[in-house]
Amino acid sequence: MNTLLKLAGTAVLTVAASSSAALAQNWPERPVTMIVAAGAGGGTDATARLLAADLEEIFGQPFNVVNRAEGGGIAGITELANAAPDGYTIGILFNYAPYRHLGMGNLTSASYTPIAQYNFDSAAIHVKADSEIQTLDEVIAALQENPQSLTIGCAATCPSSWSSAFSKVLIDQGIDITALRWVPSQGAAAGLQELVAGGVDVLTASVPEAASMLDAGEIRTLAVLSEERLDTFPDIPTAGEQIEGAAPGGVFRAVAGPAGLPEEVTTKLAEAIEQIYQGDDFQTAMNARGFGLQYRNSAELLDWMLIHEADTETVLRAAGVIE
Amino acid sequence: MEVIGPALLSLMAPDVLLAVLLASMFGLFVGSVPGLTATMAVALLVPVTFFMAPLAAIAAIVSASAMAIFAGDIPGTLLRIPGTPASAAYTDAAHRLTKQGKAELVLGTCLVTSALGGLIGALVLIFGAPAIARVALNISAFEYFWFVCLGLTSAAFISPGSPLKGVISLLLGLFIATVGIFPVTGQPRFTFGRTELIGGVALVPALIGMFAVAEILRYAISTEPAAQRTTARIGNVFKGLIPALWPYKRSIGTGVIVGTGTGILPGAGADIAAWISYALARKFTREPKKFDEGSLEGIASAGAANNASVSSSYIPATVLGIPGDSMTAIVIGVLFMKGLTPGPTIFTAQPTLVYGIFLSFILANLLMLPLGYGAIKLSRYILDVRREILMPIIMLFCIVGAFAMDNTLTGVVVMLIFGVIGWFMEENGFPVAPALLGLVLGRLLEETFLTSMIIAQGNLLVFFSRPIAGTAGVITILVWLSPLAMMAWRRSRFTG
Repeated sequence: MNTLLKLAGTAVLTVAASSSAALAQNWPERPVTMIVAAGAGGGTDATARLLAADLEEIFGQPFNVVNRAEGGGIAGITELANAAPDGYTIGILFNYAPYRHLGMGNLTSASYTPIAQYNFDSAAIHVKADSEIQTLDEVIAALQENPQSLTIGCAATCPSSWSSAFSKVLIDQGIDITALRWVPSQGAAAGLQELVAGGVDVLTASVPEAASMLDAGEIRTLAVLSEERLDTFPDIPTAGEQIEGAAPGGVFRAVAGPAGLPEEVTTKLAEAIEQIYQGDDFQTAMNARGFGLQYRNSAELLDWMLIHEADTETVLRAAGVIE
Repeated sequence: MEVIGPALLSLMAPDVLLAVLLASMFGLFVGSVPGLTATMAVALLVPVTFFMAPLAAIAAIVSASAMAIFAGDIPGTLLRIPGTPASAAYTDAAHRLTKQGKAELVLGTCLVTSALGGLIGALVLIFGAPAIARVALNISAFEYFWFVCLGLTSAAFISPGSPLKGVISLLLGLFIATVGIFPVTGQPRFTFGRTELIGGVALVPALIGMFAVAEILRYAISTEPAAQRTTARIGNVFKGLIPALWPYKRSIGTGVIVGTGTGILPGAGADIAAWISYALARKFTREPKKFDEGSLEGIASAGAANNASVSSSYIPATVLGIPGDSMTAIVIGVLFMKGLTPGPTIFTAQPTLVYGIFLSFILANLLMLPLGYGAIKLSRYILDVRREILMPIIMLFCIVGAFAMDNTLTGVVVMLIFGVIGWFMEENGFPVAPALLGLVLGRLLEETFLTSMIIAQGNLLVFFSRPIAGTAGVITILVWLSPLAMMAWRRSRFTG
């Protein structure tokens, strides 16, 4: 019940916060709400709770994680964008660019104050263990020959962050991605089930998400869409090793606030997150779960968000979502 | 199986036992409060488990979830307000018996069948986990589609009364399930431009509304004096239970099988298990008249099913890292936080831990008997509380529960709207159960159908080309056609 009371308390405080301008110099004077646009117990939630615990220690104020998982995350990151920029509401931001093109809100880099990125998970291409396909080249060749020959799982609603990353590779190989058979599913776990049950031939998802099935010997990973092999999975080849110039892609997670966050607050948070990121505890915990580690400071994160928006637009235009 | 010994020892460690005991009491409390669900009990435990050893953490979650699913039966029986969605299927039946003064017998039935279902589910888990998980891996969208169709068919068997009103209620539920993101293209549908509706109408607030708020409305509007107060004496709930339940052993067996099977299927949980087993019990009962007037049969079957499914949902979760329901999704998250990756390697790398977790199901379900007995004893005082005091308190918990699912006021609004809808339906003889079943299964029906159609490129014959899907499809169609065939047969017999 304590947690419930805490949550109720946070809600009241959040309302109070929006009515009075806080003094940025003394920030934080009261608990900070951290919006996580994903369910409790999932990957985004886990990383957020790691950060929140350390932030609490550094600033001496509670950082309360509030889960807002509805609508595949759109509700939570919209709420983050609309929050009062007083430093008492921050949140975890991830691949947000597709929503705007799908008719959900108008979220751009201008909606947020980038603080720091702490994670990047590369997309990867998986097949069932007994599949005839052995390499990524064979997937590309088959699709060039006949775009309808393979079913490709998005591991979420299509286009997902994973399928978009793979689409970029396919577009560069001259494949018309509108002709492909993309298959949606409710999240990565459902997508993996569909892959092993023979419903789809190829699945796009991250390697950590597929780790249990890889362990079980039920699936094989053909390639990871990263520039270098992953430290945690050194046996999986990169897409670039198999196809010249294959674009890397995946999902980023970063701490961000609503647009117009006071500079003092952004600086304090960015310094704290860099300190946490460098710490052994955080590195160990992230590695244990297989999360990819990548740090970008506020300015670098903004650059990346612009690249993310441009890439998303390219893919969605090729997919026919944008006219 | 030589690992069972050390696993049992590790489970008997004082810190684990203490965690199990406290979590059990917590689960009983949360489950028995209308508006607070079993999933919420688990979610609230997560921050606490950060400070525990892996086995203590998961054993605590196991105990809390099993207890909460049982405890949901208590307010369902006494107040006609299910404590968790998993009790909703047989709330009406249970309350009907309470009105006849048989609350003691009903609660005893719920307790014993819950423990029994949970124990059998746990045995399946211990002895069959890896093998069963492999079989479950063959289930693709095609098979799911037919399973969902069969599940929807059970709506026709659930409630007594006009079948036409049942179908209208089901269609209403299916319609409400279409609100939200269109699963294929990701475009919002029927959301009227509101981000709150993008995720669809949340099930738990809708359920709290249709049962609890509707019941409160009914009380508030009712002009009858407080004659409703049931002054049932609740003594020894175990007394006379075995002779009362023995005739229904077949239905209880069906419940356990349905529950275990549903738990294994990823995406289907305790609530679906309860609906389907209750529908099956009603369809195949030998005493159809008694079933609707007040019988333990459906309650026993569904009570066993929901707890069996809690146990067996750990099969795909531990062997393959695939969550069977929202509770195991959280469990997988906790395992990861402890640096453990679910998968076959966890069986070789951490066998003591895995079997410790499995054995904790046995412990929790045995512990359920004394603790549940205590909870039932305490709960009888609820009936002594004056309704004008009790109802506002329940309303308060409902608001907290609806709010806490997503930490948004949208949940509370959904709850209130569905409260009015539920009240209006009941007043006009429309059963609310089929609407909820439609809401539970609607999204799954649409997703599996569209996914299948994309994979099959629009060829409907593919729905029958896989062995399991083909069999399930033929059975479904036979079930649908059976009333027509019966009608034709009767007609030919009368004319001929």
